[in-house]
Amino acid sequence: MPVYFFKLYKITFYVALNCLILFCNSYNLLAQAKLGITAGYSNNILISDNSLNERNRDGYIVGINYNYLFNNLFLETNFTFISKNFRFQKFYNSEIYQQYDNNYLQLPVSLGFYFLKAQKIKISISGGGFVSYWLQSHIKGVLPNVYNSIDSLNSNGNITQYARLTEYKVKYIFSDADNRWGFGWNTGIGIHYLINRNICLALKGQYFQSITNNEKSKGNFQLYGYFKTFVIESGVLIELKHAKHFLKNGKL
Amino acid sequence: MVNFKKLFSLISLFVFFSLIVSCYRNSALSYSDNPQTFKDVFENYWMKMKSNYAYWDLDTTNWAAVFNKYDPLFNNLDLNKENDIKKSVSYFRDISKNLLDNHYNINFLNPVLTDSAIFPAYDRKSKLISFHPPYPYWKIDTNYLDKGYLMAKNTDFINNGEALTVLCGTIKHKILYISFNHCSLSESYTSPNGYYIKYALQSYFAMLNNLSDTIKGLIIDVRSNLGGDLNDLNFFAKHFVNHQHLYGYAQYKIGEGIYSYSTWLPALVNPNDNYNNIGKPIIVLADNFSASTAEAFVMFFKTLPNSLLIGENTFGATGAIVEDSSMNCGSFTIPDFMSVQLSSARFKFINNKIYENIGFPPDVFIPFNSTSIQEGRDLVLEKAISVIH
Repeated sequence: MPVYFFKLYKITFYVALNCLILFCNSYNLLAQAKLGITAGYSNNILISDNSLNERNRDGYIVGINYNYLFNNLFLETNFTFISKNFRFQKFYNSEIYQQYDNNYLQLPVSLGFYFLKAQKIKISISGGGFVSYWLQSHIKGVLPNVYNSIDSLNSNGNITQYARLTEYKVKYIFSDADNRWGFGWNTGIGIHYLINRNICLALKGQYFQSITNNEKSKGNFQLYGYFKTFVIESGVLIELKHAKHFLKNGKL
Repeated sequence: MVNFKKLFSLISLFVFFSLIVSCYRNSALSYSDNPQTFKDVFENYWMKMKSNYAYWDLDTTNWAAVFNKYDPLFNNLDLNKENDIKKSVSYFRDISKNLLDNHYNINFLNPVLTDSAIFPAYDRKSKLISFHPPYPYWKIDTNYLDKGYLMAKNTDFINNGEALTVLCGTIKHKILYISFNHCSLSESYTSPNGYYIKYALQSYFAMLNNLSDTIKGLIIDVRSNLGGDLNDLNFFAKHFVNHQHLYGYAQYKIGEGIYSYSTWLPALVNPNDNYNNIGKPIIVLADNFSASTAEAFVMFFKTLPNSLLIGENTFGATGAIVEDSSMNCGSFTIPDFMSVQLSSARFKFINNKIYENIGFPPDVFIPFNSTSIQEGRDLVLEKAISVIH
């Protein structure tokens, strides 16, 4: 990757961090706030009332985490890029299937509390809601294409005919019918391991359930379908005041 | 020290956000698979149409408004009263009068309504000044064929009251002609009573694969052919190509969502091993009742470089009826009340245009002329003969 890309990312990161610190300063939130980056694994499934066999699929998540602590409670948000992939097939074990690779930007806001505190370890539970935006989608699948049939005459004089199974893979083109904004609720459990007073490692398991459909509603004119997403992610969080120090001196 | 004012504002924001989130609800209508009331029948029909209909993105019918209008009306009907059962037909006819899918039709299973049927595309066409019913052209076209022509029938395959009829032979010893009135060719080819059809087709394919120099052109007549088995296209057309031939694109529903469409997949004719380069003009004859698979024939031949289409616009039922449970849309049944026929796939021609409810236009328009027909003259066939030198 060219060097200027790294420079661009670095500048963007510094600008974003400075903006966040400015915001937190203005609301006096810096003292108890942590900022970090997280990354991990996602597993998503579409739940709908149609007759298809839905299957869950793997994906990934990366995000910027902001955590504001007050007593044993904390308010947390994690601006993430998350994949919510799924697959469905008409029949069990059928060769006929369709799979979606969906990428979302997601902003959950959670309220949590630490219910267990040891010397270096804190364990928390949290819950809240999220808003997401459907960035892009790729579809891959196999269909019996009746407009591409094969026939052959065997030695008994019988004709064998069948529709060819046809594979397709395409970038999904959004239309007005798509509901790209989504909402839902989330809950999770997390472990914070304190490396020192200012830096901690985080390991979180989260569950997200959307309550909005990917297709826009037309009264009763839609099928009920929503995502269930499990996430395991880990990351590093630092005290924001030290992030400020980091920006000034280039080291923690 | 905790700043309680700021903390309170943050928590308020969180609660507000949660409230917004909780306000989003999805309302899914449930319906009975075994309807006991007219309300059940309608809601079953409405839901299945919603998931099984292939043209919601193009159709102008407001299906949500249909529900709001007709759900209370059906609720007032009694499934045990004969008059109410008859009245329901007018409701279903009104609901479906403007549906785009020209394959759409309803046959009633209820004993009170066995004589009733709804076919909006036919109703719309019957109101046109140019309307004419399907006509069995083979009855007069034998007059044009040279001695030794073959006419084969198979009464095991009936469509619109007509047995499958294949007519083939030469005209003026310079034109190879074939007509078939519906698409059951490959099924009939191997059926127990399909011997004559098989013999006629084998003779035709033999002539086609060893085309003599005296033959200057071909006429393929699918007028008043209401379609049938889509496999017939490859069965017949593979004799005209030496490589996979793209003639359009097909699209399928990939889920039960109203807009859950697949990408457009290639519509292909796969070649025959015995291909013989025909290289001669191919004239295709079509009329207002060339429908469904017959339209696929028309559009396939239109993509060949040496073809000409003569006659009228085709019917405009270009989708495919597929009796395959792997499809996510298409025909369905309301138990003990009615069966609804719908396209399971939709088709667009190689120019990316969908001709559903429009019909494929001819290169040379010659309308149906009942006076000439009564006199035993087929003006469309005469025109086709005149352009082959």
